[in-house]
Amino acid sequence: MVFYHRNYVRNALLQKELDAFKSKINATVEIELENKRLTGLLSLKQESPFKMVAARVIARDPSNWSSAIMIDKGRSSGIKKGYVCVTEAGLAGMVFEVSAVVSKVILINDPSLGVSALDERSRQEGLVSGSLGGLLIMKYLPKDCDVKVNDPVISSGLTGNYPKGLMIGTVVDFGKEFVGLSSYAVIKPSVNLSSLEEVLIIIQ
Amino acid sequence: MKIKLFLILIVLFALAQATLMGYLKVFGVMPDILLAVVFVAATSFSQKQALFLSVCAGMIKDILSVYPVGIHTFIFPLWCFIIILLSRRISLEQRLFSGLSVGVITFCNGIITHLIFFFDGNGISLLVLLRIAVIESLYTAMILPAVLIAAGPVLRIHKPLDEELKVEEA
Repeated sequence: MVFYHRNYVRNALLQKELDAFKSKINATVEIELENKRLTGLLSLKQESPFKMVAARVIARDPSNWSSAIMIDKGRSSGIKKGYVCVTEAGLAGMVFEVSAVVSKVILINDPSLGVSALDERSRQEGLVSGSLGGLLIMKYLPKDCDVKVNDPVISSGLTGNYPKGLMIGTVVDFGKEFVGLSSYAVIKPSVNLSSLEEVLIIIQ
Repeated sequence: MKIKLFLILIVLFALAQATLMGYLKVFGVMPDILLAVVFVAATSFSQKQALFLSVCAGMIKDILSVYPVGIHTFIFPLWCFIIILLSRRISLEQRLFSGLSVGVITFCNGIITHLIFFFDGNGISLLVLLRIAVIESLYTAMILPAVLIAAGPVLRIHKPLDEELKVEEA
């Protein structure tokens, strides 16, 4: 009882210190994770034959009917409409709108974006587009094509600025279209599109 | 003063929609806070002011999204007008009716938005369409009380008495 007040004050001080340390630890963990991500991007930037600009994701599309992100680099960093957005895991999207300091990137799981793609094993070509979900669809495959589950799918280099060989994802399902004239493959994107934080834009 | 503060609130809600809501997705779907804000504006301001605020909310949403230019700038005032008409027939002060009407309007907004996309050549499967439309409408209806609480301090601002008297005299 005699030392109650002293202990109470000391406890409050220690609690404050503990809170400060906790927030410091959180900040350190965040820096460590960021460091890991940036190291991955940097290694890709150094290994890649393309000239790239790194950018941070600052916002996402406010609606549920399209899939896009806003990045903190724009015309002043050399970014133009149609440039390709990648991460160390593969293709992420395409620059859709550019202003002086920010740009909008439409992601590959948006239905309005189509990328000519190639099954890496069978060399079968198709068009990959989004379905607003977590998976992509590779359409216009011939009905008797040799596409199998777990086949890697890469960009074919036939559309726009997409260079050949960018990883898009892996086949998780394969089926025939309702009409029966062609087949489709369901693809799991290699990039986790819901948790993008830093991206690279290929500018040359 | 009240309308200016509400405009600032709309901008803040739009920023929250574009940044924070990504982390609060349920089954990959987030609520449409700006549509809830349009509802609040329609039930709390005069017709002209509410229409003006809904145009602003639509414009901000169009700026942030990748929609064809102006979908929301046109569609939000339309919903605002429908809410105003509805509020003359039923009591939207009741939580149940307000939530229900926001849910129905969000569902219709989703379907119309998708139809515009569909005729633009970007169709999605029926199941995905229903999943997004239904969850979005329920989620938006559920988040309405939070929007009302956040907008409460602005909505409680009244004009000074002498200004009101001047308006009445005029």
